[in-house]
Amino acid sequence: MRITVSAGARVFRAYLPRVPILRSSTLVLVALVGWRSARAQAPIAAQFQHAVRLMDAGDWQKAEQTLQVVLRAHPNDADALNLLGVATVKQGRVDEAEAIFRKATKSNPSLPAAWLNLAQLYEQRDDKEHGLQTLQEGLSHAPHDPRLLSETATLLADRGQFAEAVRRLQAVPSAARFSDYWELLGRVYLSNSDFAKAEEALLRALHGKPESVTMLRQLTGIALKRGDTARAWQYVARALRLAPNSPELLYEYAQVSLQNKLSSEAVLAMRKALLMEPDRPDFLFFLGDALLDTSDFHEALPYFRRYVELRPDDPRGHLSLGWALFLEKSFPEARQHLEETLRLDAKQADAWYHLGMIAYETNDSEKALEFLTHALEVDPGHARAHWGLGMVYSREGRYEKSRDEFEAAAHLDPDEPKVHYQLSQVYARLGESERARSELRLYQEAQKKSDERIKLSQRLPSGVRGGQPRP
Amino acid sequence: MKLLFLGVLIFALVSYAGVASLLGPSQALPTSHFVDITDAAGIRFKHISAPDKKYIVESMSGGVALFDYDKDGCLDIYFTNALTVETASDPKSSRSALYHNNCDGTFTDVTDHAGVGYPGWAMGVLAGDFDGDGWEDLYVTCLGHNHLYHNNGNGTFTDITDKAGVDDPRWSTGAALGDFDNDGAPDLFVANYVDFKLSDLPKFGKGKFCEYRGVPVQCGPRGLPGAGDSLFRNNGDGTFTNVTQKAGVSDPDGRYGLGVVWTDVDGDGWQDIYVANDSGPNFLYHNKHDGTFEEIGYLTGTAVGEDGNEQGSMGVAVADYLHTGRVAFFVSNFVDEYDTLYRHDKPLFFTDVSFASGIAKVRGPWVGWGTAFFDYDNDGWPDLMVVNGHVYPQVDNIDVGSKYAQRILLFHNNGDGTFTEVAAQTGEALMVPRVSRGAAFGDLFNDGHIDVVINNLDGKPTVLRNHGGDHNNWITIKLLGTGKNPDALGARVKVVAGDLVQWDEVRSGGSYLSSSDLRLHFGLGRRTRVDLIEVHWPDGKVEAVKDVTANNFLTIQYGQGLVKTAPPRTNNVDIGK
Repeated sequence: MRITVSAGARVFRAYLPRVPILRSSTLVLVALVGWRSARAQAPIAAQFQHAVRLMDAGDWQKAEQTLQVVLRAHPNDADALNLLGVATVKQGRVDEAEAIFRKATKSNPSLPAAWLNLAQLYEQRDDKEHGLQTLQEGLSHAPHDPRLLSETATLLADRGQFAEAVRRLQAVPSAARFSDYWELLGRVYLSNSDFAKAEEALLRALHGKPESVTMLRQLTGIALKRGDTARAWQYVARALRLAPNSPELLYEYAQVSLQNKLSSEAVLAMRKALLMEPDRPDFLFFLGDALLDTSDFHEALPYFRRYVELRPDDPRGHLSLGWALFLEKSFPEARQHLEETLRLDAKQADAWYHLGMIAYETNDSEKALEFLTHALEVDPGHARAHWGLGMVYSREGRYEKSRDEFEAAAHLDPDEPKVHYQLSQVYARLGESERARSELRLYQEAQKKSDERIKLSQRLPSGVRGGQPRP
Repeated sequence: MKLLFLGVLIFALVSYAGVASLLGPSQALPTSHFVDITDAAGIRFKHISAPDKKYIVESMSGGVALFDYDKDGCLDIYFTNALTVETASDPKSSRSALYHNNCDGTFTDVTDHAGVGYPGWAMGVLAGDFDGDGWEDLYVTCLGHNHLYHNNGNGTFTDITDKAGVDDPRWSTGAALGDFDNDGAPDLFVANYVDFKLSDLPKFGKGKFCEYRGVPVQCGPRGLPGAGDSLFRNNGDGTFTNVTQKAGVSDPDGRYGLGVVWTDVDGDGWQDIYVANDSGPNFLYHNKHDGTFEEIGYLTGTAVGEDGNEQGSMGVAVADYLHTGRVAFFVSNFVDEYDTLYRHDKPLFFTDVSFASGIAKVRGPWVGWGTAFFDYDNDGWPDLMVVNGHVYPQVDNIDVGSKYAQRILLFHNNGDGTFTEVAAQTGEALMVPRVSRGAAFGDLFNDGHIDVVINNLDGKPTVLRNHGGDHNNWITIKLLGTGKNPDALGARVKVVAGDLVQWDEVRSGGSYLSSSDLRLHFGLGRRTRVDLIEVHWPDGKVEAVKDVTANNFLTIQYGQGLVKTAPPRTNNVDIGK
């Protein structure tokens, strides 16, 4: 599966967009509100607002000048100092900015923005330890500030201190627990592999941001980790409805669909993805693979062919192409690619298996036995190789041997209807009619489940259909 | 120069004889050939169907029957015709046809006089004596009401469906007669296909089951509801009773029934039924001798292909092709599948030998329909023919390796369990691509060679005259039964000619929705005499006829032995040669 669910501190950050210093307008807004509540002098307020506008426009130098005017009037104004620190950082004077932020925190220790900006400055210097200390110092003055708590939790999670990170987040006041909060909490749980809690938190976040494709993708990953492929499909299908033209998302959707045995869905999604990225090797391979699972297996050929052109040294491509050619009954060419597979990787059990089945189909029992046996030497758990051997022995009338092989196949793959069918035939020929009937029942049950999966695969979410491409 | 030519000719003849003797009679290269004599025979019938085949119901018609309706000794032909979705409300918009065999190689359309031209949307046809009066009746299966046309014995027929109680208003396909309760009166089995309503048509090209290789096509049968089958017990008084449920043959899962044949599969003296189900497991209903059947298709290995895959089964053929005394089944299937040959290894155990026999070697682009085992070259080994034609005209517009119109496959029985496909060597007529459906087999010209009549969609049928050319000998046996079964359905015959021992059975049904000549034909190779003919009548009585000369038509009557011997006809030898 290409989809990975990040776990562990190292990947944590990848899922969390950091609060950038650049988000000055937010901080400024906070500062402005705070300032307005404390000051009422119109001309200075106007200067302050002017500085904010200049900063929003990216004119840091002029903003700095304007803020200097404000600070001349109010030298210990923490908000102005905070903004000045931002403008200074933007002009590359980081050390100077540090001093300004420090002054702002001394001036008003309860100004979270200043602590946050100071901490970020340290983080950008790769001094995460100092950044964390700064945030914790800020929390000592403003223990319930949601931003300080969130940033602290982020850094703690980054260091693998998940329990502590959760504790910080749990300290966020209920009134401040918006969608972002739940998302962050969900990611912390996720990084700690606490999938149940992660899902719970992310679902709450989703409630506030129902169109968050990112969250839905995370939920998909969580569901897969928990082994709930059906639920995963629901999440990824919903994400796809929101972003129907994302090749990556189409790919993820296709993968999850295939896990749910929804081959038709997978095929449709990949056809669409390939329209957008026609020569992407993983897309080509996946679509070919998905098509092999359907009655349209002959359509897999051009995708595998192209994949082999792009990746001639990948044994998987030759293997899959070989199998698709086998299904097309193009045995000589199939054999060629399967042999190439083995030249690249002699341990490809599937290649031995497919060569064995070609020999079986062309009535060469001796070769079939040789290749199938070889497949099992490489991979003793290869259910299909056991099945293939069973077919060869059945054809030769060696029913006891075929029984043993089919039983081995059934043990490895009990849901495969055909194995039970073959066992019913073999037991009938061995005179064990009760066993034969029992296997027949198993065959019919497995066949019914298989039919139901086919019917399920006809279900289509919106967002995938429409503009179905042709290879 | 002349001497040189003569020398070359002699050399060639000697070489050929040498080669032939090396190969043995069963393995000799085919010298028989088939010729299309449709036009020369005066057959003007044309099958009608909608060209686009937007609905599955427009692809499935085409049964044909060979039967002697007027008891003049020559086989007549009945062709079924179809309506279209557009014309469905007007049953007279298409005409099925009865052609009288003039016994001189030509045929005359006698449909209107006979009164059998408008059964509606006809699918298949069964010829048989329903009331035991000695005249062959016709049962025409249809989308909608079926029709039993009683042969009045004067060249006309009367529709007695309701009176007889043998209607089945569903989409009926294959039908066959067999005496399942051994009361002496043949009973009727009718297969049904899809629960199809003209008032609620599936949308062409819409949905997973309405696409083929990505191209929009007619929907089905998968994805459409299936219809169960019917068994009507013959009450012996011209009426029938529906005993389907009681007999256990109702097919509650609604499989898509097509080809049907009655046969005594295990030689226990009770008739069994084989049903080819499209896209599903085939049925082998084993007669339990108590008025009920047990479906044993899976258990016997005759339900699906070798690897457990369900196949698109359409036509069915039955014969003892290996001379073991046990019948084998052959089922014609869909494209990309192989036609399946189920060899009967031991009682009620079959093995799919399609590959081992060589039949599966030619799988691929064919969609098989009408089929039969028959000894076309009279070498003593039943051969196999399958007529083909796709269901989707749309395939002609895409490159899928298969075309809409397809040629015939003819498999020569090599006598060792294998077959060789020899159509190309037996006449251009077999190589002409057609959209074939039903096929009926019989000696139309009473010359000792089995001919073939094929109903093709979208046009005229094909009457293939078998000219022999093999110089092999043969014997044809007509059985006259007793009571309500004058056709002796279910009778089994053993023919011994030197080292050659063959078995056959008088069977109703088989092929694709068609009816073949009920006379039993046996090739004898070079043997000139038949040492023994053993008739096992349906009631268990066994009669023997000994020491007869080959190349004759024999009539054997219950309790009376050989009552008639007739040589082959010679007054129609020119047609088609």
